[in-house]
Amino acid sequence: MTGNGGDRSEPYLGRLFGYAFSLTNERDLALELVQDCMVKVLAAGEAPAPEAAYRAWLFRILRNAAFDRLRNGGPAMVCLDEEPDIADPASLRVEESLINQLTVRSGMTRLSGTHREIIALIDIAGFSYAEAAALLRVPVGTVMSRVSRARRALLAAISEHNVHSLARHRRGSRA
Amino acid sequence: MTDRKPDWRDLNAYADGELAASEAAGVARAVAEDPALADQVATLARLKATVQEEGQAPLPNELAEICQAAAQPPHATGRPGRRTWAKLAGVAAAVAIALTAAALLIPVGSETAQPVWRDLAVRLHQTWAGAEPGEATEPTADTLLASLSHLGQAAQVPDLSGARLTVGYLRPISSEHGDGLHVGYRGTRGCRISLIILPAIQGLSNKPVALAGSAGQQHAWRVGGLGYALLASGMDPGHYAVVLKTVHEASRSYAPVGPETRTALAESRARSRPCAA
Repeated sequence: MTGNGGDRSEPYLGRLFGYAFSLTNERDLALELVQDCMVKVLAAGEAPAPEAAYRAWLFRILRNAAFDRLRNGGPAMVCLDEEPDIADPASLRVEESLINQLTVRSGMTRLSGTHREIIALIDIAGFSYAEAAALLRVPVGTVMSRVSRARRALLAAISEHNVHSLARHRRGSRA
Repeated sequence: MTDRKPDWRDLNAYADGELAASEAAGVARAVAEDPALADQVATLARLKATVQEEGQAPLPNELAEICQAAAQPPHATGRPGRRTWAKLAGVAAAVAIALTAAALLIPVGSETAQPVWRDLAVRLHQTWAGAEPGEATEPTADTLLASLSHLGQAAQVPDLSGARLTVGYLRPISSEHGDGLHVGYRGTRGCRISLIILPAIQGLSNKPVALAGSAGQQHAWRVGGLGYALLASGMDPGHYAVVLKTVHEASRSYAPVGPETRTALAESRARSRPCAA
């Protein structure tokens, strides 16, 4: 352990916020979690020297802060146990043009907490499967399965959203 | 996996660069021979890239406060020096922004509690101001953070190092008015100032008002659900007024003390006489 963790945290704040948002699905709560995390980081005094260990340390602090709030009866947060079954990906035909920031953002909000969290860790925070497994305290194979199920769920959410929007739009056009 | 068609799980690991070289080569071969698999890999790549872009969206404005607070270098000695206190004050300010609305909803006590509230503040200050230098417990950053978190509401502990006043005492308060915090600032010329933060009571104004029945250097005000009291003994009146203005403004704005105010504090100190014993 070396150095003050707060000094090095700035490059990670955006990703911490993204991860916090994945845990809360609510902007203000996510901001509070990042603030909780930074207070704990500054109070810790020392932080791991290797960058990868430091990054994992930051995200672990934020995750623990989220569960502290949950335990203390804080505002409702996502349940990380639910992992609904999703259709076979081969049956999902999502036009690539439909995958954009708007549809992804909307789709993410409709995922389970477990799915949002794993996508945030791998794609937003940039963790490897092994790093994510260490953070979540699960085997690497579990991370691999969660990632594939989460992306399948996200594609399903994007697909449903676009089909519904189009149908509504067409109904509205006729009226 | 090399002898079978890659499944969705394999394709995800492939898109994430998580497969060993031989496995990745097997998937690449399969994808090259199967347009349906190629479509799925393309979809995954697009999905992953879009989520990554989403994660790089501009930071919310509120996080800028945290950036500024976290970016300040630590104090060389590792003790809670000026920069550390400024940093903590910055984080406290950031926390405060999120909690201000909640603090405004907290009910206040009865008007008859004011003398008790005042007496408590005066007694705490007298205890701190009368203590021998060696008796005071040197606070740590951890202590301040823990104390702030126990308050349950957003509080501001301003950095007064511009006036050469540093935090030399810190103690959580547990009283009939609720939990609070006593911050003692110590100067280099004998000054001791108390900032006492407690749940507000009725009768406190938004502006500093002299505590009823007190000598000149005891003022209190309210910010949201919190009451602040600043107490000093034998301080140069002009200098006390500048310190009071600084603390009051910091408590209301939840903002760290800026460079102009630091300069004003330093100039005021230079003009003032040392604190009387």
